[in-house]
Amino acid sequence: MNIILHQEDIKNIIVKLDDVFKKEKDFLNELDSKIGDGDHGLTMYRGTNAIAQYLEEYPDLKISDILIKGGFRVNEITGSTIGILIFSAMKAAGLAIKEKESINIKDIQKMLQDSIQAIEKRGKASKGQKTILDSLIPALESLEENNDETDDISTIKRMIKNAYDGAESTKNLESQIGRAKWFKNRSMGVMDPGAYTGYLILKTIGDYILKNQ
Amino acid sequence: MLEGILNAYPNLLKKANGEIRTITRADSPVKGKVSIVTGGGSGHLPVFMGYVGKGLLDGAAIGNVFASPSMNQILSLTKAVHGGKGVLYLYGNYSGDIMNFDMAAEMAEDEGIKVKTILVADDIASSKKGNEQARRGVAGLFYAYKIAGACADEGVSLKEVYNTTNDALQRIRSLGVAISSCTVPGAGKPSFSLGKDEMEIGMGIHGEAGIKREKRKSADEVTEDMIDLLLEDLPVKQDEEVSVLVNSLGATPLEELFIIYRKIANIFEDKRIKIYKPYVGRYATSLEMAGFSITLFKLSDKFKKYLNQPVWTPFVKEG
Repeated sequence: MNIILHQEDIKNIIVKLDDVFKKEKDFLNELDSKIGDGDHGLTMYRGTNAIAQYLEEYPDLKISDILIKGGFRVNEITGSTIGILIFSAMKAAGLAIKEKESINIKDIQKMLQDSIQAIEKRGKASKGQKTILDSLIPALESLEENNDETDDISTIKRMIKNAYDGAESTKNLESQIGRAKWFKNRSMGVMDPGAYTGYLILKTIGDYILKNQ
Repeated sequence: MLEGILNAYPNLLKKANGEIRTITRADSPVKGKVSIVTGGGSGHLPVFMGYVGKGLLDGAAIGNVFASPSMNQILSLTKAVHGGKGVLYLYGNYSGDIMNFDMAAEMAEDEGIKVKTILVADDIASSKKGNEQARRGVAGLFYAYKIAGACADEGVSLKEVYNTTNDALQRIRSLGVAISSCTVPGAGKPSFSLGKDEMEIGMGIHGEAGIKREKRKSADEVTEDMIDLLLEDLPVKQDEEVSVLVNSLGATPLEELFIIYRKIANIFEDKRIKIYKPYVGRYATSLEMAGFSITLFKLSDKFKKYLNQPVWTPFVKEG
């Protein structure tokens, strides 16, 4: 079974993301209050809500522009660390599929790969430092294992699982980067809110694909 | 909050490009001088808007509470204030601000505006001596703005403003202590909690961990401990001069700040260190956090001269 996503699907996923972050806002704030200033959920919800509204205003954008301009909008509305990282990631994802009218699983892989590189470059971060990368990188590995013989659907399921396991694994890591590094010993045992956000984004995309393909 | 500040100081401040979260001095762009731009999250008044004006900053980009302003805000502010001699980005050493300011700097350079960046990293509690570049920026921002602003007013090059401000920062150190938290609006809960009789030496202005949590002591004892730690990091010899900034983190009243200043004055008198131009008040806050910080600025003739240059901004008016 091969996955194909069109412009309408991307818009639907963004509406779903807005719902998901509305629901998860308090939980993310709770995580952030243990290793930060307690507003990560609020920032993420402001961001996803900003793109959802932006798409209502500009419903006819092509896929790459939804990502590039939508990401810009997230940063405009939220500023913040996560805001600039999400903008960098969405811009990279948009550029990865520039001009394409539909995307397949190989495109998704390229988009995630380029997003990760953009986050590493802008955030000067790498895996294992208790950041969003700790859920995104394991998820990418599942996509990289995908080939002509494997089933797209099982790849997507593995992507979600890997992202979750990656987010969970941050409980055993110390924050080494960003403002959370100042909470070093207090950060042990706490899941990184950024990593959980990475999981939520991939889970929302994955669930949509599983339901609609 | 932003509207209120603009309403209160219509002759001093204005919006850049009609956008309320980018504020410039009313006569911006000022030609013939390097422009000084800062920014960061809200929640620290008078940092940042309170220092926009003659002698200090040309503009400030303001984010949500404790969150960096956006790349685009910083970029459009940069273009709005640029007076032809380049722009100095001068802000606290926090990763979110760095990412947004760096991206804005790259884009401003693409549009032909010269930008240099200095990160203020004066909080000695946040990293050990020898690893100063990892420290957080706190109330020392005020002195950094003073020096950069005064130097820029002489009409010198971006490189010179950059070098002079960097030299000043080698001589500026801060340390804070908190006894209660603040709550980020919308987050619903305090950022951290401290026991009723606890305090935390070195607590950051967003509730970041400090050096140690301990039982509360008298103002005199805490002040003595803090001055010891500051002088260990920034040795000051007999007969040298320092400016001292005693700053409330928000909820601590002026009355208590003067109790602390009294002790500092006594300690320095004993050590025969001269205090030149002390500042006591709310200079860099953290919403309603209770606590205070002490900043020392070891002076030279050049920096004394710059400290005395006139400034005219909403929260500081001198000369």
